[in-house]
Amino acid sequence: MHFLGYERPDGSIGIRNHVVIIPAVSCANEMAARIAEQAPGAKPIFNNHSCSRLKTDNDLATRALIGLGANPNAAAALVVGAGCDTVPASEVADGIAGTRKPVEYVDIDKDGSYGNTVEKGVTIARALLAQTAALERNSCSISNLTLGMKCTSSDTTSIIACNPVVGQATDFIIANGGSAIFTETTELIGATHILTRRAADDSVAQTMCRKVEEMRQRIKRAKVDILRSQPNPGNMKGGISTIEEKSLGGIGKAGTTPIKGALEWGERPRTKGLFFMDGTANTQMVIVGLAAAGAQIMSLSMGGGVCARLRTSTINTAGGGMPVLPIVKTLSNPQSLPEADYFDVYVGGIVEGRKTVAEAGKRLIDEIIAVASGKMTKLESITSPFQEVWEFYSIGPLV
Amino acid sequence: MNKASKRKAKKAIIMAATDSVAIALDDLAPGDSVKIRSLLQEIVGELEVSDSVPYGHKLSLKSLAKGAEVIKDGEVIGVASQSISRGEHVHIHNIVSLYVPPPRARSLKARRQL
Repeated sequence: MHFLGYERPDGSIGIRNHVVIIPAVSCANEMAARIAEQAPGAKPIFNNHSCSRLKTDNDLATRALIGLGANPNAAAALVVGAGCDTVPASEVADGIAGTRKPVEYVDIDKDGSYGNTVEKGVTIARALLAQTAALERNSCSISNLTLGMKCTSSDTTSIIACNPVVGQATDFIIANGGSAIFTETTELIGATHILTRRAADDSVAQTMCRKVEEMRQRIKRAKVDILRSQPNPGNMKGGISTIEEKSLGGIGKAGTTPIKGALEWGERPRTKGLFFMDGTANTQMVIVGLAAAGAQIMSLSMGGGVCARLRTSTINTAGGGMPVLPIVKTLSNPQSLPEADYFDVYVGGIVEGRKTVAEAGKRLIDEIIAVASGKMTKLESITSPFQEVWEFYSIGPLV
Repeated sequence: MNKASKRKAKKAIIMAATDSVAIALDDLAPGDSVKIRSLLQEIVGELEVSDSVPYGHKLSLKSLAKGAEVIKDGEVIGVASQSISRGEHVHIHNIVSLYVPPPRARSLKARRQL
C-alpha cells in the first residue's frame, strides 16, 4: 500500500510540506507571529514554555521543540529565540539540523534587537518558503507512516465503535510495516494487567508499569488517589463500573500487536511497530508529544456530547490545528450526528447496527491514506483568527 | 395482543465472543426482550431483562457466582461482589474492581443512586 508523500533528507516521509516557525520560549511567540504574518504560508507553532521551570522540564521542552522541527511534515524550520538560557534557540536549531533539512535561527541576543530579529526572521522564512515550495509528492510505502492516537469525550459509543475502528487502522499500519503510538499514562492506571500481557518483552512491561505507577504517585502527592476516585460520577452514570473498564478505552485503540517499547514524552521511536509514550491525557500535550515523536498523522476519536459541539475539537486547535500533525477526527455517537460535518469520519453506523467494524475501519484507513496523500482534514480546512498556544508536558512544578 | 408482543425488541451489543456482559443500546425495562448483536452486526443471542438497565450500561449474559470474573471486550473488568443472574443489570452494586478495595458501605449506598 502506498501514499503520496514528501521525502526528507534523513529518509523520513512528510505528508505536509510546511515551513514552521518555532519560538524557543513563549517570550518569542510575538516575534514568531510577526515573522509568520510577513511570510505568508509559514506556520508558527506557539508554546507556553517560559522561565521559572526546573531543568528537567526545560529539557523536556527542548526535546519537544526539536521534535516539532524534526517532524517529517516540516520541510524547513526557523527557530526564534528570546536570547535567554531557558531554551536556547541555537540548541533547538542544532537538534533539528540532525535531520539535514533546512533550519536556521534568529535570536535577540545574536541579532541585536527585537526589530532586527523579526526583520531577519522574515527574510529567512521567505527564503525557506521559496526553497521548499518546489518539492513534490512521490509514491511512498505505508511503512513510512507513524500514526498517533488519542480518544476524547469518551462515552459508551467510543468503546463500541471508536476503539475497535481505530484499533483496526493501527493494526493495518503496523501490518504494512509502519508505526503507531498511544499515550495517556493516566488512562492506563487500571490496565497494567493488559499492558503487561501486550508488551513485547519483560523490560517493556516493567517500564510501562513503572510509568503508570509514577503517574499515580505524582497525582497522589496532589492528594488525589486515582484508584479510589475513578471511575468518576459521570462515568458511572454512563455505565462504567470499575477503573479496569474505564481503562479499556485507553488501550482499546492500540489494536492487537505487541507493544515494542515505552517512550518518554516526545521521544521518537527507533524501530517500527506499536509504542506506548508516557504523558498525560491532556489533548494539547498529547498532540505536541506525538508530533515531537515524529508521528505524521493522528487519529482523534470522540464519543460525542458537548465536546463534539466545540466544532474545532475538544481543545482549541482552531486555525488549522497543529501544523505538523494533521488530525483525522472520528465521531461515534449517533446523538451527535448534527456535528458530523465537523468530523472526517463518522462511525456511529456501528452503534446503529448499520455498519460492521470492518466496514468502518476500512473507511478510516481510506481517510488516513487520503489525508497522508494531501487531502485536507476538517480541522486543517478551518481558518480562524485564533492561534493555538501549545502546552508542553512538565513533571516538576513552576518555581 | 399480549403484553410481550406489544414491546419492540430492544438492542444490546457485545465486544468479544468471550464477554459475560452486553452493553445496552436502548433503555431497558424488566421483562424486555433484548436481541444481542456482535460487532459484525450478527444476532448472537436473545434474553429477557430482569432489571432496569439504562442506555450504555451493562447486562449479564449468564449467571455469575460471587467472585466470578466479569468480562467485557475480552478483558476482566472486575469480579461479581454477589451472585448475578442472566439478564441482570451489572454495575457498581454487584461488581468490584480488582485494583481497588471495595468502598465503604456508606459510599456504596451513595454510588448506587447514580
